[in-house]
Amino acid sequence: MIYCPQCGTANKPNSKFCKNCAALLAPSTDVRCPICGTMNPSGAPTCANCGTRLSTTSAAVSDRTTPADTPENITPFTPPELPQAENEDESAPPASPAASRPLFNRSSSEWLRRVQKTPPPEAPASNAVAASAAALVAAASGTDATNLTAPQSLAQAPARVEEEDVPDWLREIQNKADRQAAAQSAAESVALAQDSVPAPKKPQLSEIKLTGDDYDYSDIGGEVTDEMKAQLEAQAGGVQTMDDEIALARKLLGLDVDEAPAAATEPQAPPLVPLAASVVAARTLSGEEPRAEIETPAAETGAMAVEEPPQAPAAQMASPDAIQPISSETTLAPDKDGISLAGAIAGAVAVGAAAAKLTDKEDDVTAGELIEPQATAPAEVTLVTSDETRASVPAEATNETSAAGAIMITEGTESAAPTLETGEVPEWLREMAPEQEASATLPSADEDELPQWVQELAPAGAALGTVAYLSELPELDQAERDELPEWLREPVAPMSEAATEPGSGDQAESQTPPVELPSWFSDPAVTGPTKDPFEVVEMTGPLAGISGILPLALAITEPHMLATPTPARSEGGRVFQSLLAEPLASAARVETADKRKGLFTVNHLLYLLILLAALVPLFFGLEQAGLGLNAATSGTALFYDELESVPANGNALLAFEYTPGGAVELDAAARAIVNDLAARRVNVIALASNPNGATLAQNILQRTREEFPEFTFVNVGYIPGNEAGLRALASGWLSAGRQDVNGVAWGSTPLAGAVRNMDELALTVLIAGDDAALRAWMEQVEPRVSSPIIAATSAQLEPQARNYVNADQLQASLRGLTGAAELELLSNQTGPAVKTMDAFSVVSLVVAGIIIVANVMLLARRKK
Amino acid sequence: MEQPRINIGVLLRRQLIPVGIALGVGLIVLIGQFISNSTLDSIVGVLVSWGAIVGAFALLLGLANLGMFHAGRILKRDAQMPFSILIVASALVVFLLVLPSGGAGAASQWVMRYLYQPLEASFLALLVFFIGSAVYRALRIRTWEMALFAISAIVVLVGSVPFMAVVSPLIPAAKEWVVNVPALAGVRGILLGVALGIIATGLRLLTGIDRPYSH
Amino acid sequence: MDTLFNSVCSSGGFCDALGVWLAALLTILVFTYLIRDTFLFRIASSLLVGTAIGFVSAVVIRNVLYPLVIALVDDIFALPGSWLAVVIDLLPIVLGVSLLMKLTPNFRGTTFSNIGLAYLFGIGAALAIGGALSGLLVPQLTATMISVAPQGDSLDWLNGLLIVIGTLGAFLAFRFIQPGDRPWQRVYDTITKGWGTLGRGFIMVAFGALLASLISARVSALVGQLYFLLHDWLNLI
Repeated sequence: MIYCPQCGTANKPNSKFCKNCAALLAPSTDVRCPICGTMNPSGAPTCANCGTRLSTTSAAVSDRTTPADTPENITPFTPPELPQAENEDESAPPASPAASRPLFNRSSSEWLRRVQKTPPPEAPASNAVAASAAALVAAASGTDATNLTAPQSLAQAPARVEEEDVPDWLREIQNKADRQAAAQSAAESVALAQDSVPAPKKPQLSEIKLTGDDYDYSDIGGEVTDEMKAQLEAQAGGVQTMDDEIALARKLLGLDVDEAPAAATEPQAPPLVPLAASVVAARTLSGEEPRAEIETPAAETGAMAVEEPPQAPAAQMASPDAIQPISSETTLAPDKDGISLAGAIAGAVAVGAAAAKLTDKEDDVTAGELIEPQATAPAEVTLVTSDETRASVPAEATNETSAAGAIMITEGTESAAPTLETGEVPEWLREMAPEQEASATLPSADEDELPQWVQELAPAGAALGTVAYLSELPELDQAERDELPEWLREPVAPMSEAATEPGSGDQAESQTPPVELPSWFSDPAVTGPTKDPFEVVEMTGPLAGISGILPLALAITEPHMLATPTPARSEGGRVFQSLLAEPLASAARVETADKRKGLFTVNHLLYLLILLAALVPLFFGLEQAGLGLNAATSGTALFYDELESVPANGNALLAFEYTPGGAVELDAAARAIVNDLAARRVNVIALASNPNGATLAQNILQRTREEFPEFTFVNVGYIPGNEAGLRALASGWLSAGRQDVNGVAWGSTPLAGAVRNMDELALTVLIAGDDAALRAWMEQVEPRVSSPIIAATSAQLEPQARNYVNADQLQASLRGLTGAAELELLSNQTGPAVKTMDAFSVVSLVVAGIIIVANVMLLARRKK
Repeated sequence: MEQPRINIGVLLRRQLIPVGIALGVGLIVLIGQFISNSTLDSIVGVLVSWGAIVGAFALLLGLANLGMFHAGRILKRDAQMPFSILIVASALVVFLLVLPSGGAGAASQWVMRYLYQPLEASFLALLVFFIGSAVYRALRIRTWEMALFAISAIVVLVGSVPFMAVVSPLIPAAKEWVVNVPALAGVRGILLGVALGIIATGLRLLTGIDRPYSH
Repeated sequence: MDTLFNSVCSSGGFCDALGVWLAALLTILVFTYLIRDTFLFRIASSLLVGTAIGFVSAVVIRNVLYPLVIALVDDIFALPGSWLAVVIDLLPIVLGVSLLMKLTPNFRGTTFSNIGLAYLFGIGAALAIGGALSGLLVPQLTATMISVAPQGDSLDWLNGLLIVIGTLGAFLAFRFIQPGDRPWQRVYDTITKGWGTLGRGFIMVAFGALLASLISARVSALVGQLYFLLHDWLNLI
């Protein structure tokens, strides 16, 4: 409601003027409840309808013009956080109070939705890596909330699902990470309290929004002090895009000190996705302090240069708190979730690589080398960027690596993106238990180091996993390709019939070499006596030569019939069952039927029938026109008697209350009445309360005068005002100065002296075509007039007219064309009414027959 | 809390005066219908005659609004512009033909007889076909009320045909009975309800409860 | 205009023949709607609207406004003796012009039109109440009561009784009142509901009669137009 500032009246929400004092209303100050939409007065703490607490920041809503413009303040749903007491180590320091606070927010939800949208990889290797990475994230994100902002802590949700699958070795890692994170947070809080730039300490970013996006820097691993905040805000004017913002933040944090020249030496690096290319931070799986290497897009996107040197050390690569579950394909978005995601991917890749490496070789392996094998399993770490290019973990180990676990993720590049820093394998990797599930299916980059069983499968390596899995190889340069095993160098072309992977074939450029499975694969001695129920030998695709394959085409095209009928619990279930049991109907038949219908419908048949019923009697009428008309027994006789009761030289008032449309029906009656009165030399005063009646009256009166020259009439013309005009006519009659249609004043006419009011009229004949006119005369004129009134009405007014006749308000009534025909017969006149009576009869009978036939057909269908 | 200021002038113009006029005039005319007094009758007569003239202006208002609507469509070059041009053009031509005589002249009668009357009568005649198809589709006897409805319509329709009296005199007699007894009773009940509704609505207007004439 | 028209169109001559052809053409244009909503039908409907607008406005202006203005001018010229006549002539014009202010987009103009509207509503309400009472309610109730009185033969008395039962039943068919809890209230409610159901039957009979009457009226229009086409235009019958 909008309250008037002048009189305080409550007006409807969209009113512009007060309904009481008509003052201009100010825009509504009401606040809309985000839950039920009820408008509440501004300042109301809770909603009057549902009791929801209204936001105190709703004052800004009043600035809107109308309540409809007010954006709804919808707070996101915050499910409570499940306790994880069973996984925590008792010796671990208690989590900070912030840890128990649910920290969901929108961005994390979006990340979660992205993760849930992407299909899980089918390959066991990817599953293992994903599971381990997910477990890491679950373990990490659930414990250390201080180093996490909301996005990271959201990982607790999916991680919780997989917590049951977290192996013990991973839990130990998690516990160690918790301890280290707690210690770190305590140290950082002390540093913050001192209000000085803790140069040796690892900074942590608080929420700073420069460009208005919900970008959270906490996953970078840097903390921004007040001074840094001031610098950020001072330089916020120059920030145009997200990249600029991130670049600025990184520079202030001192994260780009080592990396700036490195980034500049990569001229050929393609433009990086804002997220993927700009900031990638992956928290390591250990509590160590690897230096995070974050590449900025300064060279490509022209990020602003930060003048002041970074005052904080490199971002801390914290515990695997930020590592989040990954899937085969993940779309990067330019927000902090993607950063976390990228970091998670990096971490997961590192995990997988480390696991694979530790299985075969526990020597030091460069992180880059670790990465490379992972590059061969692109399904796990393939990143589909926002522009649908694919980024992969670089497979080539270069010197441009940062701390272990921090991985450069670029688009499919030809340049050697820096990978993990060459160095010792972190402890957390070494502590990882023998990863049977992770290593079993992870081939290494070096062909010499490939397990034997994988090398044997080399020619048919493309057959392992899904087609799209292998067809989605990232874009690699020649150097990287050379390091790939031979069977992985070219993506496998997606099979036309067997392609099941989404987006498969995007990078399939080369034809898949014919797959040759090892002999043992089809050796019956190995597989045993085959009892394939299908007895189908696949001829094409990677499974060529193998029998017992379910034909994919049949599986897809066959309708899925219910094997066992489920008990129908409701009518809808029974209907559904019956629908499924029905054979498929062919669609072609329906189209032809529709086309045939358009030409001639049942309606056209009815129209033709009615037209013929009207035309045929007009051409072939009965010998005696108007057969059956009996004016003596119908109400027309009474009407005729009333007409005949007017004495010669008497005065009668004729009211022509019908429109030109009703003239077809009532002109015949009017003509018969006027002719009868003119023949007996009755003077006629004609008028009408509708503008058309005067012209209709003039037409009939003039024609009658041509037939009866002594006929005297005055056409008073149009009486304006409907009820008011009739009321004035009944009470005051006609004023002397009132002019008729010919411009002659009423007082000058010969009838003015004879008729001074309506009571002096011998008869009033009302020729009415609609109910309003009839009722107006009955309400306004009849109660005030003592002279008799008779009415010639349209056929549609017969029930009302009979009512008035029954109530003695009308002395008689004439019914439409039938009454006109009867009147012509009674007054010995020849007119069109009698001639058209036969056609009228036949059409009326046809319409009645249509009603009867329709109901007979309905009854017949019911009996069937 | 500060009391809101009331603008007396605005309130007078937009609320009090129109309500006062409606109430005053209405009560005078209503009383004049039940009390016989020469002075009152003359005042009522004058007021009612003014009402008739204002009613004519109301008719002109409707016509002018229609003309402005179509003129606006022409100016906006709407998709229906050709039809609006035809409407405005025919209105102007007929206006010029009828205005001099006011409806009684030869030109007015020619327009009425060969232009206005055939058009409107044809539109009414067209309804027969649609009524025929409508009764075929919709007039199905499914309840006892629909049965009464259909039987009554059939009886009156067939009984209105003159030569059915030749077939059997009971047919027109049945029709007369249906129209004079049950149909009359139903129409009378409806008319009584209409009368009560008119009285209630009129009283609401005259007591100021409903004020459709003010903002 | 009439003189010019008469000079051009002599009675029963060219203009009448032209008029017949024009009327026939317009009738056929309207009947094309039976096939589908065609462009020709739109032309006919537009012509009807335009003709109605022009005709009605010309009649109102010529027969109402023009005499009013002439009378006012005459009274003004007869001032000062006719000041009362001037006032009486001027006031309805002012009220009518205030109605026309509804067309203005100005808010003040539309506010001023409320005066004319208020006058119309006041007059109309009063006349409607008086007419409904004296012209509808009283005569109809009187006739209903008289119907019960025995007159004529027993058949008339029975018909009268039926009319009374049907009238009251039709009245009770529109009763929407929650029944009370007391026994007599329940009995009363049962009786009125049953009577109302019976009244609904009478109403349906009345509607059937109204439908048949409407069909008869429209059939008359159809037959009349076809007769015009065949007799006046084509001279076939």
